[in-house]
Amino acid sequence: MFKLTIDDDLELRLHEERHGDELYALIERNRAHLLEWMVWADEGREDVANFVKSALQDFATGESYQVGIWYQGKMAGSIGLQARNRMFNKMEMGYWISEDLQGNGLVTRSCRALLDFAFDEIKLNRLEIHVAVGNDRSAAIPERLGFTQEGVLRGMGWRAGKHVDLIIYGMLASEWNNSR
Amino acid sequence: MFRFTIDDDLELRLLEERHAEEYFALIDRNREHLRTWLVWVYEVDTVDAQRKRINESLQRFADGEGVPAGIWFQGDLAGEISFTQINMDHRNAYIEYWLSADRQGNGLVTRSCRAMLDYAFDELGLHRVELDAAPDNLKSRAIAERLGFRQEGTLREVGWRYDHYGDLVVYSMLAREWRELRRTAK
Repeated sequence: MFKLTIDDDLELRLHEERHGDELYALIERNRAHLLEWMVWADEGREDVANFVKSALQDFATGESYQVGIWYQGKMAGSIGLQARNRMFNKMEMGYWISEDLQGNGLVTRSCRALLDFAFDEIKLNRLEIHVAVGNDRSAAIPERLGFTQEGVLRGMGWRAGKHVDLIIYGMLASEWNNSR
Repeated sequence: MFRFTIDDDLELRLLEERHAEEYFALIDRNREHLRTWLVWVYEVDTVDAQRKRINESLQRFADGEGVPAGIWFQGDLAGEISFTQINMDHRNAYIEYWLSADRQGNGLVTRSCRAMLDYAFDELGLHRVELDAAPDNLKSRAIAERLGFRQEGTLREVGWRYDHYGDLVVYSMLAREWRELRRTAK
C-alpha cells in the first residue's frame, strides 16, 4: 500500500516480509547475472528473509531505506540508500535490476526518485555511488545522472572471489538542486 | 516517502522519525481535544518523546506487528490512522485513529479507514480488524457504524482513563464482510 510512485509503470515499495518469496525468486532467477558484481548474490531463502528483516530494522531507525523496484506490478529489482553517516550527513546508494528488464531506464528513474527523497526529505548533503571497475552498466547510471567521479579506491571491494577497485561517484545536494 | 494517495487532497504516509516535529506540533495544538479519549497524549511532552514513540512504532512495523500512518490533508499532517497489535497467527489487528479538531467533519477518517481496510484485507491478508471506542466517544463510534463495522459488545472497565476505569465498545469487520460491502457498494 505504501509506495513511492514514479510513473504508471514504476514504483518503489519497502521490502517487507511478505515480499520475501518474490524477492528470493527474483534473485534465484538472476543468480548468475548478479554474482558477477554482487558479493551477496549467493544467498539462500533464509538469508533473503534475514536481509528483509534487518532492512526493516534499519528503516525503523533511519539507517537505511531498502526498496523494491516494481515494474508493471511485479518486483523487478532493488534499490536502496544505506550506510548513513549522520555526522557527515551522507549515504550511499546501491541498486540491481533483473537481467531481462535492463535497458528500460528503470534504475535511472528509480535513482532520480531516491535522489529527490535523499535531498528533499532526509536532507542529506551528499550521496555516493560505489561501482566496481569494469561494471560499465552500473557506472553509466551515475554518469547519466550527473554525479562527479571523484576517485578510484584500490582494492576496496570484493566481487566474485577477488579484490576489485571501486569508483566513487558523488552528488551534492547543491548540485542536484541545480540540475533539476 | 512511502504514501498511499486517496484523492487529490488526502494521503496516508508511513510515519517516520523526521515527522516527529510536525506530529508534536499537531498534538500540542490538539491537547485538550485529544486528552479526553487518548490517554497517551500527556506522554507526548517534547519532540524527542514523539520521536521515540515513532521509533517504537516503526520497530513494531519492522516486526510485522503494526503499521503507523499519518493522515495528510492538503499537504499538512492532520492526524493518524494505524494498525496496532497485528497478530499473524490469528490474522487480526486493531485500527486506531485520531484527527485534528479543525479537520473534523470532512470525512477524512472515514476515507482513510476505507483505504486501511482495503490494505488489511487485500494486502496484509488479515481476517479481522477490531475498532474499540469509549461509549461516549460518539464521533469515533459514528465512523465504525458508517463503515459497517459490527458492534459486538461492551467491555466493562477495561481501560484506565486518568482517574477511573472506562468501558470500551468493541466493533469489528471481517474480511468477507468488507468484500461484500465493497461489492454491493458498486
